[in-house]
Amino acid sequence: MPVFESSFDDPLGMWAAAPAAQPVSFAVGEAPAPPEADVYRVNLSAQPEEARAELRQNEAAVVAVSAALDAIPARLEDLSQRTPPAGISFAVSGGMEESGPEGELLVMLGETDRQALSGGVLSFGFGEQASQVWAEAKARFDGLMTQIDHDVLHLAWVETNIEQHLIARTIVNWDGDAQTAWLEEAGDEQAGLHERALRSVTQTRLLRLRMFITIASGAARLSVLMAAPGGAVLALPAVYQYVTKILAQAREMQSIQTN
Amino acid sequence: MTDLFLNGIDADTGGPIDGDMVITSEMIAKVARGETISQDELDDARKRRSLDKTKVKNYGSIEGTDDDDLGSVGWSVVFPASLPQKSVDGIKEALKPLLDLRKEQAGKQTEKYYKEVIGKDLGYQNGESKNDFLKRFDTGPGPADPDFFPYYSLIVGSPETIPFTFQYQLDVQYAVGRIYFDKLEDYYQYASSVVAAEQKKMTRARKAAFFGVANPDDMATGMSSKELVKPLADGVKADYKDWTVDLIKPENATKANLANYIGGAKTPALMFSASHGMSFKPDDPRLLRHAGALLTQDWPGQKARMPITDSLYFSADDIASDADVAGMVAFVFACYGGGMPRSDNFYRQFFKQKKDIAPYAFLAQLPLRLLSHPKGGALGVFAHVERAWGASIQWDETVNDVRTFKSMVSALLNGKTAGVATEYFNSRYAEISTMLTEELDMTTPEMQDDIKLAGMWTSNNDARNYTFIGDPAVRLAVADKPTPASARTIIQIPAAITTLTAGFQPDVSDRSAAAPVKSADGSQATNYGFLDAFKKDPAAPADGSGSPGVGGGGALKNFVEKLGNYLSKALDDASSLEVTTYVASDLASVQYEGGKFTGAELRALTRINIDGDTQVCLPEKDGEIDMTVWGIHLEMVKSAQSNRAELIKNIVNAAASIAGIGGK
Repeated sequence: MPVFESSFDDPLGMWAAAPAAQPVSFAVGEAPAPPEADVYRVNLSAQPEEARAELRQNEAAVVAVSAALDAIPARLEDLSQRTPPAGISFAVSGGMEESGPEGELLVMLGETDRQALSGGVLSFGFGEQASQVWAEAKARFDGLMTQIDHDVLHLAWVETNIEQHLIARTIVNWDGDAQTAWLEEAGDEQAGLHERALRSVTQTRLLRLRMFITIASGAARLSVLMAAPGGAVLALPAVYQYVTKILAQAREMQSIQTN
Repeated sequence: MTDLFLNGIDADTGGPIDGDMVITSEMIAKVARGETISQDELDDARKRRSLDKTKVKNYGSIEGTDDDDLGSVGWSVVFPASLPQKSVDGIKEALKPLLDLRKEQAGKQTEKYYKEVIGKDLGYQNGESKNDFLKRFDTGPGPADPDFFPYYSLIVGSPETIPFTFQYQLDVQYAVGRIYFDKLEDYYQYASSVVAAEQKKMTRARKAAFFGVANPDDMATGMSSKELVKPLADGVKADYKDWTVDLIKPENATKANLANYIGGAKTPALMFSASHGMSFKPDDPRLLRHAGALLTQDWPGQKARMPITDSLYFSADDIASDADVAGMVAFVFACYGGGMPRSDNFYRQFFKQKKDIAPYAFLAQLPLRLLSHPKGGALGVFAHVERAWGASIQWDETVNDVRTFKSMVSALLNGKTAGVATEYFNSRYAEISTMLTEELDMTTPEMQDDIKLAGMWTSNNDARNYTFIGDPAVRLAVADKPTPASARTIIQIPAAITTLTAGFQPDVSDRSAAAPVKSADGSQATNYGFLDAFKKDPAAPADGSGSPGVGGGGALKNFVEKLGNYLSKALDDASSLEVTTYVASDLASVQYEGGKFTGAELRALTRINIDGDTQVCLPEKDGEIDMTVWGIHLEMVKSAQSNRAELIKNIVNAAASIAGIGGK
């Protein structure tokens, strides 16, 4: 069972989606979450030190993702400065000196621009695979928008379990108003664990908002490189792909360091 | 003094639209006494009333004509005079299939029976009364004479440029409908759908469905379910043996089931629903998209007093992208089901001051989405603008009165046009209006019965505010062998129609966000598809120069706007912070109901206002403060404060970024 699980597919990849067949919020004998609530469940070890370490891992991931999001606008600004304006659509196979995520970003933007200018034929010049990547990235960006919409309008239902034993449940809205039901026997130690779990949830919600803003403003910034009208919208999937790659790298790096 | 029922619920409180103020018969009677029905309105009502008394078959048009035949009574399309020529050309092009058909039907024998009331000189001038409008066509109050002005009128424009009041008044004697879409493609979709239905290229089975919500402890829906929906369904079952009739009882009147009947496998030719309609505060970002959405049986009732989320109501967002609504006609009995005026009529009259309930008058999104559906649109939706009152169903608080509804439904099932079917509501309005005025004129306040007067006033307003969204000349398209969905022609939008999009009707500066679309399986469908994204931004120069910005894509722009509204609202809501602590010996038995935990003991509560005022309820055990619970509670408060500070910081940063996106 994952330590951090949620009732939805977290676009940040920090919470594991619970399998559809076993919804986390409707276990037999337990009070159901309101249908409109997003359920977050933290399953901690009974060993206090181990439980704290599990939470630390998540907290470190939050810090790493946050720092990566902080850095992205400057990276994209640099990229747009050193790329010739409106030139990327003709530079698919040559002339690109960027490597890594920035290089992939420019290639994808260039392909998108080129196809838009040529009338929007679905097939990309370099094959169906690129088209699929674009479509998947777009679908995931749509998913991010949907989830933020949900975050803002709905409640988060946060449960902390210790060795599968529920110790606290909090209903928290977007503004932070919170109602918590504690197990009578919960002590300071367990309360501290739930409080940290709750904090992870609220921070994850904010990170998703920041991720969206970073992608949207990044796409707007890079649209000047594209010749096709509506460049910012066209650029969104590519920038989404780029941002998720950077965030995945940041999480991986953090994971290596903490381990 | 009696409380009155109306079919609208506020999303924030889960309570009545008017908050804790209960509208009583006494209050309405005061309004009625103070009301000045204009002389024009009264004349119309009286004329209509006298005609209704004398004529047998005809309702709105002159003697010797047939209201149900366009060639006999004529058809017109009315645009606002202020619409720029480029937009006029675009909309006319998009509506061409429908205009051509109506021209053929109405003008084939007498050319002038088809009329385009379009352009600076001929179009509707903003602020014009019905009589001033008709005067320009050398006619006045009284039955429609197509030699001067046709009986059928399709208004094409927002209620800001052609007000609801004009529509109501013209509708007293004429058959009036309205359309107003955000995209030219939608006009084309609708026009093509109507033409397909009339040319029998798209027919549905003879099936009617009656959907009656009755929320717990809720008098309004209890009454509409029992006294309106059931009798209607029973009546149709008894009188129309060749029709299949589904009565959806309250226990089955859920959102999921409504989706079966609106676009799903059970979609009928005629859908009738009675429920509460959703109401939102004027600054609520959901207002323009979800006002008038249908609150289903999933809502636990007013006693829960819980904020209402979209899982409890059916809105335009719930019409799947592959929904099968082509050719259907719907009747939506719900507050604001058809749209919303800018200011509240009741408040204006009771408090003698204007109370804005919306940034501008608008049509509800649900009917518009049905009419413009990309897989073929519905033909029309009867719906209510403003509050829908229980007076629609009960006369004088005692007599169940659904004859008007029955007559309207029968007219539709008998193949009459929507315009003719609405005449029954027009007759009712005329009759009650006259009665109300006579009651006020002929008696003194001391002699008047508040309840009777209030009943008349609400009935009068209620009957007046039914509107038809769509072309009033449409009629149900049914056949013994309906067109299978697979055999229907998919409407292809011509390239010329897509050259103008949002903004081509510059009458409302801050237009409603387009509704997100779901696929039939409930998953979020493409908001801006690959090919859509590749469509050229109409706002961009043709040479591709300039800064297109994110705004070129409707879905993202809408989302950014919506997000801005959310964040702004979040800042407003951040004026207080509330943290509550409960304790239970068994968390499995703790329920979350009506916005709070039950089955657990409330032990501590802290509310901190922005001005520093703090309210604290301390946990007590054996006469002393329970330090364990208090300690845990304090930590939660500190954590919530820290979270709130981060939220505000993020909102401020996000707001700056959003402004940047908008400015690109």
